[in-house]
Amino acid sequence: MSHPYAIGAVIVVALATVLIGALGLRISRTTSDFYVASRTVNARLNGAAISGEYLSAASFLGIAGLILAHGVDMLWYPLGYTAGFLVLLLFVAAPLRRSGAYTVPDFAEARLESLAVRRTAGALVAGIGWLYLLPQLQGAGLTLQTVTGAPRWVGGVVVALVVTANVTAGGMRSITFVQAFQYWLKLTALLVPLLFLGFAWHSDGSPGADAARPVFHRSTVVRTDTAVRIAIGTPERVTVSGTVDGRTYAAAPLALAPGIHALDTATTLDFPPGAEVPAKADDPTGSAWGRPLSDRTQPHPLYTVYGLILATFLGAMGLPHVVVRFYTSPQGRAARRTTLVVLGLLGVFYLLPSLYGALARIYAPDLVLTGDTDVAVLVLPERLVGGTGGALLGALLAGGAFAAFLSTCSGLAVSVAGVLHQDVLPPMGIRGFRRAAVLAVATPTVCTLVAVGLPVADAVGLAFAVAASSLCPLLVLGIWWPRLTPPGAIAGALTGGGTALAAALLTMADVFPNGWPHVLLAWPAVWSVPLGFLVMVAVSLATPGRIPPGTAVVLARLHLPETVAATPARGDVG
Amino acid sequence: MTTTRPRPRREVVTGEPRTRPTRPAPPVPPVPLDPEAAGLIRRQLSVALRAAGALVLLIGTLPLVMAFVPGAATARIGGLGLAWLLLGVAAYPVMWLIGRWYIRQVERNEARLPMPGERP
Repeated sequence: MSHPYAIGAVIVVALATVLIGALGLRISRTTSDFYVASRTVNARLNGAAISGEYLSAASFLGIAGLILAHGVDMLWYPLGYTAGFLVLLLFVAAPLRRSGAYTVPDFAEARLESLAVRRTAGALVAGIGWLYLLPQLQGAGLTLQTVTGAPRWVGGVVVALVVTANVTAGGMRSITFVQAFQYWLKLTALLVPLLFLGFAWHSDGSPGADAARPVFHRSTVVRTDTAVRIAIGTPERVTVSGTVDGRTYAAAPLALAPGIHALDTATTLDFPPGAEVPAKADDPTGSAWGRPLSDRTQPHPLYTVYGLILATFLGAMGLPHVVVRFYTSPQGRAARRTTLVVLGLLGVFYLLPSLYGALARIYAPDLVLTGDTDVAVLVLPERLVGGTGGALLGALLAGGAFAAFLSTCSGLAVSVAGVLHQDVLPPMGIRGFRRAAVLAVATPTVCTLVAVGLPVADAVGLAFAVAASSLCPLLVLGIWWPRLTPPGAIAGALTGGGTALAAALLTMADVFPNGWPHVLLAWPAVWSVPLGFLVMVAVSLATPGRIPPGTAVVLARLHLPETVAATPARGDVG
Repeated sequence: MTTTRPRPRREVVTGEPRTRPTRPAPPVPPVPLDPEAAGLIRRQLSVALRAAGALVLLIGTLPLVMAFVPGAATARIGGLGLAWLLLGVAAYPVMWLIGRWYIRQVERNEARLPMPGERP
């Protein structure tokens, strides 16, 4: 299904991004321009910029897809992404701004006076950034495949090229305005089609989302990408091209009897309106879709929900592209107000994906069967509205999705490139930064070409788990606990982050496909976050002689308001 | 009259220049924390923990409620599932209000500090 409008929208978004990046180069030319501009950004604009950068493909496409597939429990994703900012506000925002640090490694070095801690934090930032970039690029591939029919690797490569070009040209990042605009663009791109979809749904007789087994409301073609086994509840008459139960058909009518049927790769089934949507034979979600903790594809739902809660609530503060933005607040108080604005803006945005998920449950339930739930948002206009209107709304959504990929990837690429440039590669000035930017984007791009299809929001969840187990203890204990020592910080961050990362890799490699080992590794935050904190505290207490001498001065500067701290804080820190 | 100003040089800004190595830690004992700052840190931490407690109590316990309170998982309000309303809508204003309460409290604590000149 190729739509010229959608392709046009993607091209417009990509070109606009490059153009604005190039213009930004003209506007913010010198270092001092950059500083002056960045320090006078008001809370509302900065809040919109943070939200614009934060709302990634996982938010724009992934959440609706997960809700379609797994039901109400998936609402914990957007809730957790938002709650992460509340936790950040409570424990980190103002002190981090007052530390004057631009990145987590900067903060680590300023607080603990140790280059080793700085390097550890830098390695973690790069790892988390890459883990987060992976699903963005994958989602871009999926989006471009859906709207243009291009092979899946193309989208990721296009985004990687645009982002690299943009970051090496020096644009984007320096302009808060652009990121703020991205928030409103993404909100509009979801809201406007939703109004039309809601109207179409209403004139359709407002069918409910949690019918015992969803029914196709229109004649629907299901095409399998891989071989699947489906369960049919009531007898259905369909038109088949491909192989069903070992027999090959060419656009022939077939009566499917109740029971299990095996479909081969690249088989299309044409279901008439009113036909019951078949379930995947091995994961019957069925009537329990709307009920919490009822997803039978997850063996221990209560544990997985808490794994998700811990990872997202505590992980947001460790995401590299989020932390950088706090530097643009004029002072600590403004950083707090900015975070409150972010809480409000995210709250408004996240009302929408769940509605898309519920609508997809009614009108696109076959995506669960083929596993392409991440495209649910993109196909709804075509299914519900149809015609030119549907194609235009679909184009708006595709453009919004690409805006999400580009803004999040740019933020991540700049953060990762900054770390590589400063702490990993030999110093080479601006050329070195450009080289670092290429490396920052190329690594995850190569991974997406190799790695198997991981659900977008799942991979993002893993990045959050690693951040929550390593950088969260480092930031929270660094800000609030005077007895933290460099050996403690390194040991805790490496143990927590390392075990969470190992769990993520084992999950991606599918070493334990089921049972408790699988669940414990797929949702590591429940044990890896306490582990990170415990090791950090224990090793710090065991090395009391290594408490940095400047601790008291730094802590006072982190917590005293700028007006009060002005005299003593500038003393001997570093 | 036409003086050509030199084009401003472009700089990469990602933090402090990293040319000098950190000095080795001097063998001085850590300075104790200024009692005024220590008091403020204690008060701010207590506000943060209370706000976090509210977040855990109001939102963090919802999975347990859904799992163990009979009827909570299937309850419906106005045709919509209770879980959908709580997780999809109501949780967001609750979190925003917790954030606003927190900001008021910590700013009040900061305002109570004596200004530099007023110190004894």
